[in-house]
Amino acid sequence: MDDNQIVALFYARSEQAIVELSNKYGKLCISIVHNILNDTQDAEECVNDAYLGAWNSIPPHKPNPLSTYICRIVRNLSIAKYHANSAQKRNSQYDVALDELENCLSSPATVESALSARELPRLLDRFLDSLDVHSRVIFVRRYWYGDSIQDIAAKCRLRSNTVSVQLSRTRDKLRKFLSKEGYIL
Amino acid sequence: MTRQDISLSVGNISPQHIQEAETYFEGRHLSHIRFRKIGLIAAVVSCFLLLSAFAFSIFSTLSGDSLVMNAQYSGDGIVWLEITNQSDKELKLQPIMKLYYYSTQELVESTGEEPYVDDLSIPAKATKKIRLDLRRTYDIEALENNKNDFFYLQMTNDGFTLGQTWSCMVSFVVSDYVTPYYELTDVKHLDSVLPSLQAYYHNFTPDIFARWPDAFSYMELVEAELSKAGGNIVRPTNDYRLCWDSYNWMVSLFSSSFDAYNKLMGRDDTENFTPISVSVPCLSDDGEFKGGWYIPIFFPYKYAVADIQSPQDYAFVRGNLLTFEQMEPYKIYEDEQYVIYEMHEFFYTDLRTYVEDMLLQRDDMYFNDEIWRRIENFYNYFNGNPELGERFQYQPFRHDEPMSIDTVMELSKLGTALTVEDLSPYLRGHRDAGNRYGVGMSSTIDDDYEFFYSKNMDGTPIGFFLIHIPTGDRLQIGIADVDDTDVAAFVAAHSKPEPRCQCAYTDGFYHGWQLTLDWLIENGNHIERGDFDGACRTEPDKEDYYHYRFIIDDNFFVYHCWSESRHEWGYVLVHKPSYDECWLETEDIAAFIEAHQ
Repeated sequence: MDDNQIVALFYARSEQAIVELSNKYGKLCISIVHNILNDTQDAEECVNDAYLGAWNSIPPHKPNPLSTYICRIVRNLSIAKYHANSAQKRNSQYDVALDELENCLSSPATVESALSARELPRLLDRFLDSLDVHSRVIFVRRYWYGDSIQDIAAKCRLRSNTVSVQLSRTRDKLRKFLSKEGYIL
Repeated sequence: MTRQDISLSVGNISPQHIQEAETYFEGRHLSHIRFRKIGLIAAVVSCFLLLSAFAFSIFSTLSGDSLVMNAQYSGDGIVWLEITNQSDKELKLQPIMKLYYYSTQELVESTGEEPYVDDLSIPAKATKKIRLDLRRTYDIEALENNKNDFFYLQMTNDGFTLGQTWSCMVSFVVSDYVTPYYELTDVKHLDSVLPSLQAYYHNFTPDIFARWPDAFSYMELVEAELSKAGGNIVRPTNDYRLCWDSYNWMVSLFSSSFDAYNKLMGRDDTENFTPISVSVPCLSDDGEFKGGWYIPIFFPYKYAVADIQSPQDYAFVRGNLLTFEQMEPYKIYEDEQYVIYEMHEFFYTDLRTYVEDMLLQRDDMYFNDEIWRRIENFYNYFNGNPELGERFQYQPFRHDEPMSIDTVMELSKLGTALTVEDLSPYLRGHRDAGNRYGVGMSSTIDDDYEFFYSKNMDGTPIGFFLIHIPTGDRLQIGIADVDDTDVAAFVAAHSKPEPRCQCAYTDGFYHGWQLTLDWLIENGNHIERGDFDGACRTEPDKEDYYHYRFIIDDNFFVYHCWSESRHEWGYVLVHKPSYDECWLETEDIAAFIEAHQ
């Protein structure tokens, strides 16, 4: 079933919409949550909450593309859960990915830091626009979807080491970019 | 910066990047699988490898979003597929299909014969209509009698096992729709219409598809009459820059060749006009307000001064051939470039009868004494009033010109325009990319996902706000300035407790009442985006606020909406003006109905 038809079911308030959404994007959603939380039970809860979020928000919204919409809800719910569970031992792919980025994005603690945090997504978008598509996709898969290096390597048909090196170079570029923009010293 | 800040920042990157990363591997994955399968077969039959490799090169590997497919059943086992190939490659579907019951997702039993079908090649970036004859493939009578279920059919480009497949829904219920026609009641104004053209105007249909056969015959008759008349017959102009400034939310401006009876206003369908119409509410089947319709009241005909060589030149106005000397009493506007005549006398004689004819066409239109008074007030206020002509103003830009934030500010029609200096603190994230055109904000934005997903919450920005909407390539904008004093006065006036609940974004986080709202302006390669502070309010509070902000003035109703009493605004506040193409739309138009009846 195509996305428009699923959205039409949401608009008709048919519970079949959830079934179709789950059929089409359920696996993708589960993989995102699992990457971040590494917990099957939490993953199911987050995905169900995301379906509820979609049910409550469509209508009035008509997401296009639907996949990005539901992925974003799922990811954000997972991140919220992740931070709520922050006392737990770090054990997910997402921890490792965050560690990598933390070294790159840490900014001086100043009164402007809140402003910087608000500014960062815009800068990240501009930075991603400046990359070639392959590097950009690998970056987003790693830090947005929380995919493991091995998973990305398998998808790209590259060796894991190659992906690691490429990510490392991209982070270097990001650091230089943010420095040039005055975001970090 | 904390780990939470980092994950939040990464989480807020553009949806385009997220979508790209999701779909990027799809084609690669597909080709990988094909390669392996083809390789396996090659060990046995080498010539099949060559054939398959060739097939792979000619069959397009499209992503699901690159093709749009719709199906419509026209009876006798014929299904029309409308397929839009949005990719850069030619798409070649195969003459095989699968049909499933929608409710059970089970395959519909077929005879095993493939359907008759036209050429299934769809060029890149093209839409094609394809006839699919299912008579020898399925029991058509059984499909038609299955009225309680839908079906969906699947097509493929390379077999259902290896190729990509696309599905769409189809119903086999044959429509018993008959085009409705109504006799016109108000016919007095038709006396002046050229005799051979009068029959065209005596009946009408609300069906916009049925209007065309009548229109084509009419155009032939018109051309015959005009060539008989000779002389210089001046065509009206279509320059939208000179636009009627409605400055209120109850008037609609729609450009069209056809009037509200679905009759041509000019000599053919290339001549467009923008009647000034009063909006009225409509009801859905369950009795809820579902938007509005419009009743055209005044009919401006606009001509370039340079095109009129003599007062004896002709204008063709809805079946009437008039010299510009005869048009003179109808003139409402003139400058060096254009002259405008208002010609409603050639559309109706009696307003009430005319409105009742409109009501015949739409049984979903909500009509009562209050609405009638508003229409009447509108007519009485402007009929013969010089203000009707004085409201024509030149708009500051056209859609093909670069738009800047200065222009947006100039476009502000709903409040005091802000200056660039006012906005400069918010102007961040400039970049050159994209090809869309629009302005959006928080809960109304379509192409960004920073809206609120709780149905009962919304953000009210402090500073200024933009109301709606990037859709297609049209700019639709309303803008008004709001400051802290405004909000404080609103809170005081309504005794609103300061923040009484939290907002929820689609990101799943619960935020306090203080928000950051995004704005975005895109025009060709030019993009400006930024954010500003906002306050979170419940939906009723937001509505109250809008009422307070825009309808606080007692004169507002009398002067701008021509109503005698104050009523609540509609349930949903949507305002969609396009100053680019001179049209405006407001919905739901329930403002003049007693609230929450």
